[in-house]
Amino acid sequence: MRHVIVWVALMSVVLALTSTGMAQSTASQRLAKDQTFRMTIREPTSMDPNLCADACIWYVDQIFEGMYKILDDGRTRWFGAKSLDISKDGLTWTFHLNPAAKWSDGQSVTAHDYEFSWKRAIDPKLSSEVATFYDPIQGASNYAAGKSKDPNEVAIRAVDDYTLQVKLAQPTPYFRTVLGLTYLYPVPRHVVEKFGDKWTEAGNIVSNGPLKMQSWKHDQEMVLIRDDRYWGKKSTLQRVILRIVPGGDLCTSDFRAFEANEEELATCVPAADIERVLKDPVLSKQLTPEVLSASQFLVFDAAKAPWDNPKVRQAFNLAIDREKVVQVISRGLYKPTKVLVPPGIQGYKPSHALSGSPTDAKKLMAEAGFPDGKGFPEFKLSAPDIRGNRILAELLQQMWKETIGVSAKPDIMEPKAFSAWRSARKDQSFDIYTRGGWWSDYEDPTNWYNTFFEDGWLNSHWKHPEFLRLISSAKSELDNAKRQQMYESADVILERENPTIGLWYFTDYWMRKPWAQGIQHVRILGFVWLRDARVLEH
Amino acid sequence: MSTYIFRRLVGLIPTLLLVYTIVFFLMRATPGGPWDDTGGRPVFPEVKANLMKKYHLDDPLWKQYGRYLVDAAHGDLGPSYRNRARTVNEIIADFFPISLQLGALAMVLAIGIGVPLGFVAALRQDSIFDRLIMLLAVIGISTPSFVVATLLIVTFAVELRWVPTSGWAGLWSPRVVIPAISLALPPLAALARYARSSMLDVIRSDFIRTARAKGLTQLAVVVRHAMKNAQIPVVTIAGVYLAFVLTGSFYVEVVTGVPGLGRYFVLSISARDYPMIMGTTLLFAVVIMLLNLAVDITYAFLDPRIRYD
Repeated sequence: MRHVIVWVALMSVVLALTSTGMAQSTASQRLAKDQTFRMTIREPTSMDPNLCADACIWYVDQIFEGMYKILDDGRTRWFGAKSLDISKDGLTWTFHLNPAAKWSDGQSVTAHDYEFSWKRAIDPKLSSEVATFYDPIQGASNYAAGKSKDPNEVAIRAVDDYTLQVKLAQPTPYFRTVLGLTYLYPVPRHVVEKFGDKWTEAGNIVSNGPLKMQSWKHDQEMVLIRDDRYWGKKSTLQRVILRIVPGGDLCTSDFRAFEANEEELATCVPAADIERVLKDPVLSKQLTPEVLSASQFLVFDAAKAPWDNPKVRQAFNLAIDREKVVQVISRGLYKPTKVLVPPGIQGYKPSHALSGSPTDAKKLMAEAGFPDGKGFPEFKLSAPDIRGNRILAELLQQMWKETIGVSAKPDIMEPKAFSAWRSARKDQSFDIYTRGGWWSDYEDPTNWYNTFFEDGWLNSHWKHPEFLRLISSAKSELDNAKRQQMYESADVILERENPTIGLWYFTDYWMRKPWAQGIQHVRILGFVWLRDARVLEH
Repeated sequence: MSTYIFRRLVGLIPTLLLVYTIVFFLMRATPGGPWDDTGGRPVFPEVKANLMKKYHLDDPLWKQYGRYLVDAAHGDLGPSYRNRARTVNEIIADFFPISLQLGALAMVLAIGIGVPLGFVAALRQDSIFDRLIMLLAVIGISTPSFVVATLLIVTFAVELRWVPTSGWAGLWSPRVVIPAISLALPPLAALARYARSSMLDVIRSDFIRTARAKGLTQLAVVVRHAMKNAQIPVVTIAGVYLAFVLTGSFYVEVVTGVPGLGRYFVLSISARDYPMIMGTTLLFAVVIMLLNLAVDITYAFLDPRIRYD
């Protein structure tokens, strides 16, 4: 009996404790009456999904939706479409659209809207930068280049109001990931035709997402509000205030506003403030580094001596102390990497990284005919003047000098001048350059290996026949396991030959107020997912 | 006088044409074009070709030169390459008034405070007051406005939370304080120094001695005789600074989040947004030339010896 009493007493204590705990947690979890969410952005260059190709995609994504979206967990969330059938040969893609989906003016989103939008995006008259993403569709590239004038030759067809059929030129598995991007979101035909270029202004614009635009004072503020007619799960947030920083240093302005409690989320911390944030007991808890599918790397001119010798490239790779680089550039918030592609891209395997120490680097240089760097020509390390490239160049210069005895000359150019210089390297030689990184546009190996080396966009002049054969056939391989295998074999060659060497994976430094919950970061291009966001009482 | 003004206005045309020509060829000679990526996603060749065609950038240079000139002469400054749904005219119409308002306020502060301070410092030459004002003036001239703006933001917005960290809500909102002070400080300090030295020159001149000898009070001498003459060099300097603050300061606008036109002048250059560069340059050229004319006209009112016949 005594046991029982003790037990009861104990249990009640436990119960009392847990219930107060629960009561407390529900109190702090209670939603705030005012569901207003604030953040800082740059003036969107366009809010037209068919035109928007830079940072504006983040804001387009808040008010528009496409067929579906693939989040970081790999699951597909269906929005505009209910399902997708792909024919056995991988060429015919049939979308069964969601009949419940509506434009914010109440009209249905139909297959005709999609057909209109997709053909509009590749229309040479619109000259949109997003046209590239429609490349896999039969007839798209000819139409976009103006070689064919007939839009009916582009294989996009509304079969009926809610069925859209697309034919691809060749099997293209990566098109599945592309379909989730803002570049393929639909635009409302009736509104675009009514207002022309001005259809994206507040008052004219009609969208199809859970939020819609209420006002847009250019270079000052854009206000989004919940669309109560939205077909799916409605947004908890009632209002999203996007304060627009008119040019210049977005990061500092964003972070100051966060510190002054003017916003719930800052998407950046200025380099000068990182140290202070990490040491501050409150701010450090609000900092959440979010890994991106993006890496920083160096590119060699693999066709020019002495860079045509893989041993030289390997030595340069092994001579870099990435931990130190990352510490200096980002106070250790970036993730060091030796390999080119980030996790999540087929082919990625950290074990493919070249192993060895700075001593091995010296050995490799000696084997290549440059013991202690003797006889090695002075060379240029070219880079655009963005994101800490100056410091990076000086660090590398110092590390290479100390470890393998070679002299790099940093050549830092104004960004547009660098871009023009880099484009001209297609058939001109160079030594080493770094661009300021590459962000996956979509999570597929074609966006890295094939764009870089098959399309030759990197201008690295590296033409390894076996590597090129592997990535070229992997591109259209329909068997996913086989495709994975082929990209992995290709990656082994890439990381052994080192035409490029990885330095780090980029990280977004987000600062969140503790009362702002459910904001998700998407590692592709750092999208801000606000659909599940809510503001707690505070 | 009206003939003179008319002659000066006609004289604007060749100057503008010269500005247009220089800017046109400088833009084209600068490496990198509007659609070269800057660390973002690359623009693909077919798309670039379409864009070049759309904006007539594939035409021969002389044709481009003539086309834009004709449009600009008709008041059409063309589309913005960066903000595809907007024209340069719209952007100027939206943001130039903001720069004008803020600039005018800054100048009122600068003249209203700087000139009297300078005059008083001159009349109390070598006093503690004089030394203090001149010390502050040197600090004011040599501190860049973005440093002043940043200090004000950190103090009044982040720490004290009296005003928001950035933004614009018109001239009558407390938000205007930080950008207005940051913008006003350099001209205020400079005007104080010029006003002081010009007043010192004047009060040593013969006609002031005569006035004193006639038994006028110090106040009457200064107000009636010295002040007007001391203003001539001040007007010259004020004109220069007025042109500077009215066209908008890139740093002040960027740091304090004021959507004025000054930052477009800088941002359009790094974006190689040709029509925007040309539009803002031509506009600023007109503003500066008109202000120079205004300064010259003011001389005639201040000094009867100056005539424009």
